[in-house]
Amino acid sequence: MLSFDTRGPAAVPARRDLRGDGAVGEAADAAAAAAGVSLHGVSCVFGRTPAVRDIDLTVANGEFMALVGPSGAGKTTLLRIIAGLQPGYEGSLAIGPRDVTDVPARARNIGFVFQNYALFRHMTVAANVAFGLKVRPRATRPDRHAIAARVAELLELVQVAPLAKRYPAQLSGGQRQRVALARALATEPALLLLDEPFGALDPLVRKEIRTWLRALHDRLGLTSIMVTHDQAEALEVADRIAVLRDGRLEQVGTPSELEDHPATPFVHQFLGETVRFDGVHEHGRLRLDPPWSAVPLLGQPPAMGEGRVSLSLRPYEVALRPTAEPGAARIVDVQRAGAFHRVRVAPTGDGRDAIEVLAPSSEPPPRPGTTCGLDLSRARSFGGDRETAGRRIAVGW
Amino acid sequence: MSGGVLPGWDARPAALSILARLLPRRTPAVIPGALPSLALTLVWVGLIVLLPLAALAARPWQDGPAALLHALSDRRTLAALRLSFGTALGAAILCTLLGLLLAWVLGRVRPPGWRLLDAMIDLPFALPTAVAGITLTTLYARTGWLGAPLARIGMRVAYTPLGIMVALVFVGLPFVVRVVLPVLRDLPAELEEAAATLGARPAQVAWRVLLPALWPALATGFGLAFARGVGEYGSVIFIAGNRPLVSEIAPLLIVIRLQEFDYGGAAAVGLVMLLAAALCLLLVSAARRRLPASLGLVR
Repeated sequence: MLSFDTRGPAAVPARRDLRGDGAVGEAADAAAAAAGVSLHGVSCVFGRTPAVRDIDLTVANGEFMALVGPSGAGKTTLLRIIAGLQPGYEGSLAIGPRDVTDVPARARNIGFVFQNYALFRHMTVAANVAFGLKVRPRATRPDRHAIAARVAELLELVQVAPLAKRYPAQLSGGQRQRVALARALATEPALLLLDEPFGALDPLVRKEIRTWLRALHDRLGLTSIMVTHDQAEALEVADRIAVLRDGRLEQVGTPSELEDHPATPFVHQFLGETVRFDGVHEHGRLRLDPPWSAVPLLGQPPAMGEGRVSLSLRPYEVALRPTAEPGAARIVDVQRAGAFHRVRVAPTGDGRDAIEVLAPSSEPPPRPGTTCGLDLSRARSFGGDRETAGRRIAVGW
Repeated sequence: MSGGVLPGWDARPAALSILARLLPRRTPAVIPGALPSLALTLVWVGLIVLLPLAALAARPWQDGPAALLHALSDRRTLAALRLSFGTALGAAILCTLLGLLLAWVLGRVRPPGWRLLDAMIDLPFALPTAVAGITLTTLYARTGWLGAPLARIGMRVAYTPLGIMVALVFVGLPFVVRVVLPVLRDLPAELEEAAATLGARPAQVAWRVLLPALWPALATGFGLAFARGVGEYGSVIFIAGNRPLVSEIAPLLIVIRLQEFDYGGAAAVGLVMLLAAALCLLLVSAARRRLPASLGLVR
């Protein structure tokens, strides 16, 4: 019970058995039992401003979920609700098979890693990690030797064993991060919650720690939810990403689902740089809004609704085709940027309203001053009051 | 021998170079004029604090060690010193407990009207101590609002060492509250939340997380309240009753000796108080530095 099996993927089923609690009786319950966390209709209001509105979210057992969104989107509030640190929310919340809506934080069996780590600075590293075990009631508290052994094991696991006798003030940011993680894992939580875990680290350490954290998650068979405002971080670490905006869930999906089928222009834009065109799609013909209305369109997305639409593309998805047709766009200038040429192209000859697109550097770059048309066939399309190939969801737009 | 006071020896640069050696070597010279400022500070501190203390320390010996010994072995003097340090210690302990509670209420519980309460904490600082002493005496006298019910259960406060403690708690409490409160307010809420997510019950959070973080502040507050209590005069002499051997405090005894023109005796009591108080404050300071929470602050 006390020791993590750290031998590899084989450890995962063992831990799941530990948490099964025999609730896996009927087939209908199977889905619920496999859920690491499930939220239903969760809302939370600060004064008059709703911080989180009507969230339904399920995180599978063993999954690494990232909550992303701009600041003020409600992601930290949502994480704190799951942890039980945010009083006064509506809706229901279950961790594993157990409903914890009214359970206080201390009884939820979670591990929480705070953005500022919140290490107890009057305790040594070892005492910090041991805290969760030492505060247990006598009946379930391991004896001193068992606690010491477990602490040593955890410090080994997070690779800070030599620092056991140090105080938090004597550690670097990355080391504090690891100690905070070890402390959170000491009580064998069913769920690990991370609030901007890499926010305070310098970029090099950050990259290293997030790779390591993801490996640790897999090795221990954890269920983890991480809050971050850095979409690149989320894309790299998480199995699935939940995009929040203004307290609402905009979309939940795997990184490639979000990239290929974003539910809203916001999701597409939040996950990376975009170029956006608006226009009207009628009878199979797409007409862009000014200033691009006169530019020849040499390709358009295959499935698009009728009516007002907006098209969103990554800069490297915009294809420029040389053409001499009237109204053609003009190449303003070209710069080499790594594997791409950074091309600025303007709808009119005077170079105003230019956009930046990326052309692969394997091909000869367009020459400045030449004219071209737009091929937007790789665009995601949004809107269109009739059909949108099923990509729209109800919330937001 | 060599013709007076070292000819050609300019005292000024020498003094500055001695000062410079006293400064930590790696102090970067970012503050302009750090050296003159230090010199000025030392001169002021010397004139205002050290010189009078040195004069006090020197005075009792002027009548010879025998007179000093005689002055100190007097029963009345010893009783007064014991009373002063004993009540100051008791009052400082009480102040620390009550001050922690008050700081807790102001910093965390925040009942309605806590801002007013917060402002009132400092009143004992501003009130002339004699006013406080007379008010307390009136309250705790046998016919007073508090004294009467206490007398009925057989407790006497005014004109006893207990009364002295009451007065000392009154003047010492703000020290503890003012030292502890900012530290408590600065403790990040995440510490308590982290403890809660790790399974700690509220009492465990208070005892294992919050109190240890407050120990240094509590020790400082204790030291301040104690030091103030040892030297307190105005508020005590009214409520103490000032019976020799029973409720006569050392500062009062000094005044009495002065009125008897026994300057040596007065200085002797003063010297003992000075040394004892310095020793106590050093102990508090040492204890504070040994507290683990300080490790985050002191390297």
